[in-house]
Amino acid sequence: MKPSKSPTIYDVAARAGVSKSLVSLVLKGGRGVSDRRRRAVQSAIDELGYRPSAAATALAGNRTHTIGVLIDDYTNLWFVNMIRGMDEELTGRRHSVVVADLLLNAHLGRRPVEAFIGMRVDGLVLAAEPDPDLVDLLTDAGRLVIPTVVAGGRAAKLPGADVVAVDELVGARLAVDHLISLGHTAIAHLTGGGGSAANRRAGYEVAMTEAGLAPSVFRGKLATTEENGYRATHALLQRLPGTTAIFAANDSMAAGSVAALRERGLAQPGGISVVGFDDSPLAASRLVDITTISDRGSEVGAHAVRALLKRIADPACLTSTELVAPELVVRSSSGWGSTRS
Amino acid sequence: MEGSATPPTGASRAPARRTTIYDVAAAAGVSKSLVSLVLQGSPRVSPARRDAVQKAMSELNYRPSRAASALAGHRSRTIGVVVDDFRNLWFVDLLDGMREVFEPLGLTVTVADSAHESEGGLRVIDNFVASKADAIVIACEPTEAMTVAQDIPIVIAGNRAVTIPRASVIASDDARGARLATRHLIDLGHIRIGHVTGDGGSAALRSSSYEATMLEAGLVPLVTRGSGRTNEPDGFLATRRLLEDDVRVTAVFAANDTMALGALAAIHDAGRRVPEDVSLIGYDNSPLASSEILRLTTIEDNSRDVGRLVAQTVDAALEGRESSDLALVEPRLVARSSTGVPIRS
Repeated sequence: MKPSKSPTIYDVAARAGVSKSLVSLVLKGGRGVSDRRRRAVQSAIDELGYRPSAAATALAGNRTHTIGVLIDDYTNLWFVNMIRGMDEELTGRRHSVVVADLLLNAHLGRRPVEAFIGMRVDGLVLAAEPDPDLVDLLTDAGRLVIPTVVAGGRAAKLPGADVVAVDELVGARLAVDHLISLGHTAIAHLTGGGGSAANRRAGYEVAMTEAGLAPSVFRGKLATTEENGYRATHALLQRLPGTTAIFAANDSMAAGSVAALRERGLAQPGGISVVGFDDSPLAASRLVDITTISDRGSEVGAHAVRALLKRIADPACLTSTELVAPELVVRSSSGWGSTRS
Repeated sequence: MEGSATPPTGASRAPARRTTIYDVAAAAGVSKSLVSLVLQGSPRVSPARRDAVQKAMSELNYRPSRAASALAGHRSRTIGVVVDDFRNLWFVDLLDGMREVFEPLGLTVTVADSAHESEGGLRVIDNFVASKADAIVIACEPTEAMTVAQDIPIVIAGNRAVTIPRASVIASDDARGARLATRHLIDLGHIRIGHVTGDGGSAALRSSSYEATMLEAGLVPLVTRGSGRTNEPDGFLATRRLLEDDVRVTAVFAANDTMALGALAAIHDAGRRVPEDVSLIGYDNSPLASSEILRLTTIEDNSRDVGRLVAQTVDAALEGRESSDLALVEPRLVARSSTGVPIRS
């Protein structure tokens, strides 16, 4: 394929009879350009079908129109909906979203956030747990070096960053109330590490206690992975064979739980109910089909973009915390409770 | 953002104040820019001046602000990877392999998804160029927008229907892998083996290799598609069609693991069990395949090796060295519990 030669900024300048710098100025929307010359540049742009490249605009101004997103792990798919929401919110803008993960780059001397700084991203969405080193990198004398929004419930705080998260406590309550409304009383919770998991666990314990039920929490190895959900479910059923329902800290753990139940012939229909959290693509797949709490990932992404653009435009504006209301999504992994013998 | 380097002040006697790049420059008797060059490992600095700077750094116990050194260079020391579906996890191993090579070089990998972009990936590429990515790796089917020549090296990962002028292609040998998958099912004794597939360069290679392998064995190829994609819903649709077309099918080869996830649901919906009634094999050995809920027999495409080769090719291009235009990585079979011998009725 031969690329067709597209008009450059020089062509526009020549056609309009102005300097390249003046065209740049017009593109940046800069003041100090007379209406007449602005119109001349505009009509030259229209006549030539000139499309300023992001690279050229970035060189002219100081924006790269790139938003960096830092995630924990690509295999935990909850971030996919968030990215979709960000992309949708950015429709019609020139921005694009770039992702880096902490797990993949864990052994790097150079952290992904440094790469983002090197790329001169306009802003950062932190969708991972900030460790002290990361906080250190992102702040200088207690102030953020780059406009940042924290997405999702995090155990650590990042001073000066806006926060957009789903209300985990309300979500956990929705899950427990759903299971109670189906007649379950022996409802166990599978959990692991991380700020989100801690909030979901707290919500579970409050909801159970308020309903006059005894909470029983099972914690696998640290990570809230499919494999740990699988193992924790086997352990749980050995310890508490009377369990009729399981609320897992996320969909990955819930998928592992369903795998363990299918193996024991105890899955739905007719068996033990499972509720996850996140509404990940895996939970939505026909094979797995898990009742879950939607973390409203695309809304969180859209709100995060709005908060970030606001902060980029006005770095000094007051920091905000926005909680998005979660939703129950009923699928086939939960059903009526009955006492198993 | 240069603000993390403190402005020059007098001699550093107060222990609380951090040593800056200006202090190092003053102590070594060189300019700040030269210190920057040393920090970047630039070959343009003479050994004598490099030694002077390094001596000053250790005497002053200078810890370079990483943000400042990231900003000092002309490039961002990042490699931009373009994917088209974050849910298809084959790219995770690819990134892992790339990381092994890039890590010692101080290069970081960042990823962008072009799927939701109306301009067909143009913005993603433009913005990678604008943010001074050192190179771009295209790990999806290149759109026309991506074929426009860029000033930075572009490497294609995976077999694609479209090529980009001057871009190397590093891929797993899809034809070989599809032959392994089909042979595995034939060797288990299956005769009615269906294949579910969709669009794209890899899928086309796998599909034609499946057909050739079936014909060689004297068997009849049976191929169905969904809406043209190679995702989970299309795997479901295509497999439902396959089982409707021929109820005697005892084995399904899915173009990738994501399609296999949909295929498994369709087989269950038809009231049949895996592997007792129907054997199922995927492709990619993505994290999904090894999950407890799938335990899918699949083809390991060795995308980690592809990633290593991609990174070496990128490195060669950055250094101005020649490298091959095409490299193929050998795949292998990973047998799990989704395939078995057919039940003879």
